[in-house]
Amino acid sequence: MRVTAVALVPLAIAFVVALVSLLGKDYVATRTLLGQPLPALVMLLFILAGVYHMKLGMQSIIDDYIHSPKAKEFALRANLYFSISIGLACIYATLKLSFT
Amino acid sequence: MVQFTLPKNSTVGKGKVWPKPSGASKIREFRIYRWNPDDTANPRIDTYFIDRDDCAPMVLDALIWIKSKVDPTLTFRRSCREGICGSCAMNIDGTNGLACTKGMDEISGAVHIYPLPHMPVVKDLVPDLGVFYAQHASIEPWLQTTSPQPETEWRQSPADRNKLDGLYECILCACCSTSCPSYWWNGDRYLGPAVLLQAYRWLADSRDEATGQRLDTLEDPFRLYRCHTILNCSKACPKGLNPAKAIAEIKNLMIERQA
Repeated sequence: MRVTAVALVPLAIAFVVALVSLLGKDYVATRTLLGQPLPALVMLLFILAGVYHMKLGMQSIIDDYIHSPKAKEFALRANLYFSISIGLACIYATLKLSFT
Repeated sequence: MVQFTLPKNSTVGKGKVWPKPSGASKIREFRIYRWNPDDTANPRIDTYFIDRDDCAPMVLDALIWIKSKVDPTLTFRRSCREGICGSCAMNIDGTNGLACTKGMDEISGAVHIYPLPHMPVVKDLVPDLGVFYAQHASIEPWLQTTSPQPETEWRQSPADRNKLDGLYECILCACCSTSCPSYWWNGDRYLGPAVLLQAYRWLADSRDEATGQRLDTLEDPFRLYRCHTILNCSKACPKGLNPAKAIAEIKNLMIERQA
């Protein structure tokens, strides 16, 4: 979690800068930006680090507060599947914008 | 799921309002948690009034005044009355501390006193610290060596001795551990700040030769890694120590060992 936290500092700043630069611009401008390799790679790294960080954070909360073994097992699995789904959806959306 | 609300038989009700001392000009109000294991009643908050001109300034002085002049059934632990034994640790005005070193004048309004949070209560302000002491014993808080015993004492340089400052002063009052939300929810498996500070006290000791085994014992998702750096422990410590820093140092030792 410490590793993803450190990684997310520059990645989140880059993400916000990209977001601000797109304020008021249209869909084409977004596609043009994500069509370039560097912004697209930064975006993908941000998604990977962010989703992994989210998964670890939620896992920690589940470990802290849910004590019944069955409920814990269920919550940990739900957390894993949810994180994978969100991550894949975000990556798919980014790649679609990059390559179309 | 952890239990966030009090069970029915632990909800706190209104208690007795004891009479004000007659002829007193400076009166101070105390609201104190009461629970007696010998009856079936729920805990209650009793209200007491003390004569400030007849009572010394600390919260413990007020408790002793109440016990000797108003209500002899009020139960609490105390011994040294100077912040070195840790017996009178309790929750005063919403924060954990020692009644003997907390001045009444540091608190505005009525003084609310409860036992240390999230511990089983033996009676009134006396918590059951059995698990806490067992956890302390589990880290084997004594010097462990494999080298042959020296003829005189185990030598230590002044610089190495200085590494124990801020660690050896812990009086095991449990103010820090019982202020820690992680310890509230997982106190049976997480060792808590006081015991981890003690564990680091032996890891940091240049004379101790059991560092490896000590780290093996602590390497566990619950015993050590439930610390989420909430820092209530460092805020609560009545001796001004920093258990959160000691825990961070243990985590650093773990990383160094893996590297």
